[in-house]
Amino acid sequence: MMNELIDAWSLFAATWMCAWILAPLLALVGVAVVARGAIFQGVATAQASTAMVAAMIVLAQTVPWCGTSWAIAGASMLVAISASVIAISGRSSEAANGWLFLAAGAATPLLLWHSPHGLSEVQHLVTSSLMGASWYDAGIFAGIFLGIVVALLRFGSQVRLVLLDREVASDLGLRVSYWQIAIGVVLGMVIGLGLRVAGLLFVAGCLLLPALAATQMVRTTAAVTWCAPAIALIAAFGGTLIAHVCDLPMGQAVIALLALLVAIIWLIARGRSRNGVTKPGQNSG
Amino acid sequence: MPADPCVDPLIQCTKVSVGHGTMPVLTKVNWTVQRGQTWSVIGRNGVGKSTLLATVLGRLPPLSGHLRRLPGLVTGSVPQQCGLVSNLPVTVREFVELGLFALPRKQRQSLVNAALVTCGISALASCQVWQVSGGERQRAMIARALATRPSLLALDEPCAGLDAVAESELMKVLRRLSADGVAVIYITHDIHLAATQSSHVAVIEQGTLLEMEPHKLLRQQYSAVELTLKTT
Repeated sequence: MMNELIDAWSLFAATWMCAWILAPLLALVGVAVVARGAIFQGVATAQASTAMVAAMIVLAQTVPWCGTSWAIAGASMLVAISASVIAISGRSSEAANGWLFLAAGAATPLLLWHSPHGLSEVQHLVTSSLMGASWYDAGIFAGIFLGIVVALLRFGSQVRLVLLDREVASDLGLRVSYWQIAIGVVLGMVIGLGLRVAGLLFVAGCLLLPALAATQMVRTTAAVTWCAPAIALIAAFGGTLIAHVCDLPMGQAVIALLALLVAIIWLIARGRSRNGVTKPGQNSG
Repeated sequence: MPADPCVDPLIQCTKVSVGHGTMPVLTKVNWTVQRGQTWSVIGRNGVGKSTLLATVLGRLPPLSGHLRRLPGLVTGSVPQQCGLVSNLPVTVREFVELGLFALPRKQRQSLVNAALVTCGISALASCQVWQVSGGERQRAMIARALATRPSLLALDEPCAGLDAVAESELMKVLRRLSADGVAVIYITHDIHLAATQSSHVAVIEQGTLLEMEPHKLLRQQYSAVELTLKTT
């Protein structure tokens, strides 16, 4: 199996590298989404960004520059950043997220129904093929990943405190709203850029599933922040291998593998809690 | 003359008014808190106990009057409920360490260990915060506040929802702190607890603060009970 992967390296290297970097990157920022309990909001944000791509393609018929790849990426990133800042600051409601998810999901095909190229573009975003990914994209994701890791090494404790206990963070003199905006901007940027390359399913899946798995595997929040990217990397590598050998779409293969991993980990955790070990979040007191 | 941290009061309120916005809740508050004292603050719901505490801790500015805090005073506070999000795993040790982000790792570890020992929860260090009992979590919250080495510790209804054993354990911790020279202020609705467990009592009544000796409060409470029994 590995030999087949190595043989095809020259053809798909950029796509695979993109997936192997983007998956851990999304998992790393996804810890913030899971910490704030904004799981549905994460999916709704990705959906809204996709709708924004559709809106920009429609706008491009009258304003040509709206159709440029950077204008589309910028607009979808703006939506993702706005929604992420709201999610991290905990100002959204389940009802609003549901509305956003459904409205954006309905608007996307409606906007592009009479535009065959646009519809195929949105289908590419939704199906998560990753086929258009380039070395340039991989370089950007690697740079962002490195930047976040360096920032976490320096400010990890502050970020954890802001995510876990805003009141105490505020009491201890941290400017919580600034931190929340900073976290939201990074999160939105990664979602927006990721969506352009990897599509809705891959972005939403890698954002949430590794962090959900990690919360069941390790005992501290600090450990979740390195465990989630590790799970995402393993799944991205395994998914790539399965997709290549079985001739399946890569994005779906990675997410299916992640979903299977989460299910197995949940079952194990359930078994452990039956034997007296309580899950995080359960209150026995 | 420079302040003497051993003798000078930690907090000195002179005719202080406190409230949110421009609306005072309490007026003409004269209150002095010294090192090693244990104050219980009692009063009905909504009279301004928490607002007073927030002002003393420096979270709210006084509306008028003079509030003097000992220069360099380190305060710790324990909210009524644990505000920690429950979506991620957090051990008791990590929880206590959360507030020490500005310190180097080694110093953080030693402060956390000392706080866990003081609160009698060293054995729970690797347990999940949401796994331990309510009383143990309350002590973890105190440990987190203590890890910053405060000279004044303020607690908002620390015994709310605790059973008698957990309450007694918690009071033991507070007495130990007080003996070590930490000033402890806690809000409570339990008059018996206030009268028996604190060195001083602050009664919030009719829009101001009245200091009362604990034994007088106890006598007053028993007189009220006696009167009720006689009339029934």
